Amino acid sequence: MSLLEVRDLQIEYSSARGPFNAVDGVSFSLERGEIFGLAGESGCGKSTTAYGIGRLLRGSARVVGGSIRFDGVELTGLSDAQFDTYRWARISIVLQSAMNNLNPVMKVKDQLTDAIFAHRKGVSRADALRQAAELMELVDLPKDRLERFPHELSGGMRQRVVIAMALALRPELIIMDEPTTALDVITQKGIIDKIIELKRTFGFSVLFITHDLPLMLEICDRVGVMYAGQMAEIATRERMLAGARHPYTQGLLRSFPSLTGPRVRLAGITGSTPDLVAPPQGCRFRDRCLHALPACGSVAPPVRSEEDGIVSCHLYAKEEMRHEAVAAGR
Amino acid sequence: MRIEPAYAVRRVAFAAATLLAAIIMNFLLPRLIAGNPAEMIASQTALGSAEVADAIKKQFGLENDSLLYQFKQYIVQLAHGNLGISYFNYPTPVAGVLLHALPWTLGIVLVSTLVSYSAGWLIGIRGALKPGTWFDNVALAVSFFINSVPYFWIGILLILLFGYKLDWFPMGQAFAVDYDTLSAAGKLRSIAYHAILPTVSLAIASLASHILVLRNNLSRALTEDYMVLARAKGLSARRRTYQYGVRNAFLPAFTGFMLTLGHVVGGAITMEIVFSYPGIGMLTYNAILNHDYPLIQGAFLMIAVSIITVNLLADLIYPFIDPRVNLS
Repeated sequence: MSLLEVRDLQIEYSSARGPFNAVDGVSFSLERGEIFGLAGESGCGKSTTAYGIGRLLRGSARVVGGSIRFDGVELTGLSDAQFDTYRWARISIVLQSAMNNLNPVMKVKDQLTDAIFAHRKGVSRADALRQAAELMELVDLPKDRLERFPHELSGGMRQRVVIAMALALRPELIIMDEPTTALDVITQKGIIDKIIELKRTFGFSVLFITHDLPLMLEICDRVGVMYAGQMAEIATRERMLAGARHPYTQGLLRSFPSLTGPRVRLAGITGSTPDLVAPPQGCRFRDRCLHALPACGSVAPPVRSEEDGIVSCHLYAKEEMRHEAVAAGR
Repeated sequence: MRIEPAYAVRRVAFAAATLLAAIIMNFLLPRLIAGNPAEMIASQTALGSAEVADAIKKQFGLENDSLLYQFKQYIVQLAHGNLGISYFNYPTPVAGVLLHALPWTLGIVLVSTLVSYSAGWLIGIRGALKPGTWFDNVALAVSFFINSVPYFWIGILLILLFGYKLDWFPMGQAFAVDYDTLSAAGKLRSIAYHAILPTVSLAIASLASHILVLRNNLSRALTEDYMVLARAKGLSARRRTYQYGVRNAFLPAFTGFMLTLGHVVGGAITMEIVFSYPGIGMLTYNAILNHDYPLIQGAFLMIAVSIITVNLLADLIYPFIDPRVNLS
């Protein structure tokens, strides 16, 4: 059984122009010990998906459909009080490494221990402090940093504290939302290596969100690429490196330079994402797609499962279905 | 939560320098005005002889024309708590006049400041935690209204309604005419009874900005990443709201509170006039009308000392509530 099974997830926002689904029918699964990446442009719904899973949606956003099964339990059916037992203890989160990740007026030790106190009733103060010191050791930070305030630490140290915090209760799933975005490349490398090392030690799963596809291909076992609130393609790292299936993924990969490959002109993807309040019929990527078929304008792309991935695109529909779609498109 | 000695020394030195500047200004300003107070009093009291003028000159420390000499005299007198002699209340010392008015001002202005800040903060917190509810909307609408009317107008309105129409409260003064015949408890009751309307007026007048400031600060704090993290950590709503949200929202509001506190001894000139209340505000107003320079000087010096002291206090407290300030 997968650790996490997301099926047909729908997350709705209300806007001045009416409600829209920022996440519209997203499905994927996450195995134990796996690092699963969610990629896509800003606004594609990758963070919203993760926040929906962690019940951290803000503002008007809410889950309006679909299923989120965690370790066999349907999370969408839980009351807030029931879900609280999952928070941090089983699902924790690491946010973007901006300054504001940590409460500026609390010492590091207090921010590490308050998560422990919230979930482990009856833990003594000394015990919690000892655990905090162990956590600091795990992320290679000197123990005296426990007595510091966030502003007294560098960006990389703060992010290590946040990772230590995420590990405090040995969760099974850690959601990482752009965990290295605001860091310089060297610090970023250190943090990524640390995450991989800790994952080997503790065996947690990671839902890794970033728009940095090369980084993702470096650390993720599988990658889901989202476009306009939908999952365009899920592929193993090997599949991705050998060549993605979906034209959007292909475009994304072409947007990044390669240091070792032949010199090519970076192509990028022209156009912009569709309006989600009134999404276009058929495939949402059609207007920017280099391979658009007539059917793409009217029929939602079929989902095709392969050994090494899932793709939602007319190009990979079975022959007879494609004919039908083409016929319908006329 | 600790305070860097270097920081504390810097703040104390800064306060001392400000105080010295205030004293020098206070010493120089009246001396820039033409005329001689001794001759003025001598002529006013119809004792226009040269001997009397000389005696009065000496009393005011003006017997020597040297500015430096006068400044030395001024400092020596200040060190003894002597702020000079009021022209208008001659020969009552300025310090006595001020001390007589100070309790009245402290009574209404200090109490109204405390009431207004605590009520404003509580309303602001509740509004930010439940934005868009009827409570929040009403609080916001009322705040914007109060903020847009002159503050003494609220006093006039309350006098009109509760003093004149309904006759629940006196329309002015600090105590009843038969005050001297009352028992101690009766005196206290009379004072409280007269203080209610001006205190409430002052509290309402400044309430709005306290609501708006804390509501905005808290609304902003609630959108910070550490709030998301606090929620993900499964911390109790109480801890998230106070230790993470309000704790951070409160920091800028605290500065405003301490600034206001420093100004309390200055009284509330307009409101004291509206209520004919015998506080420092009224005193300063009359002193200006009567050209009572020593009294104006004394009042200004007292206000300056109070503001500088409270600001220093705020600076020294601040590192304990916001660990980041030691750096700057």
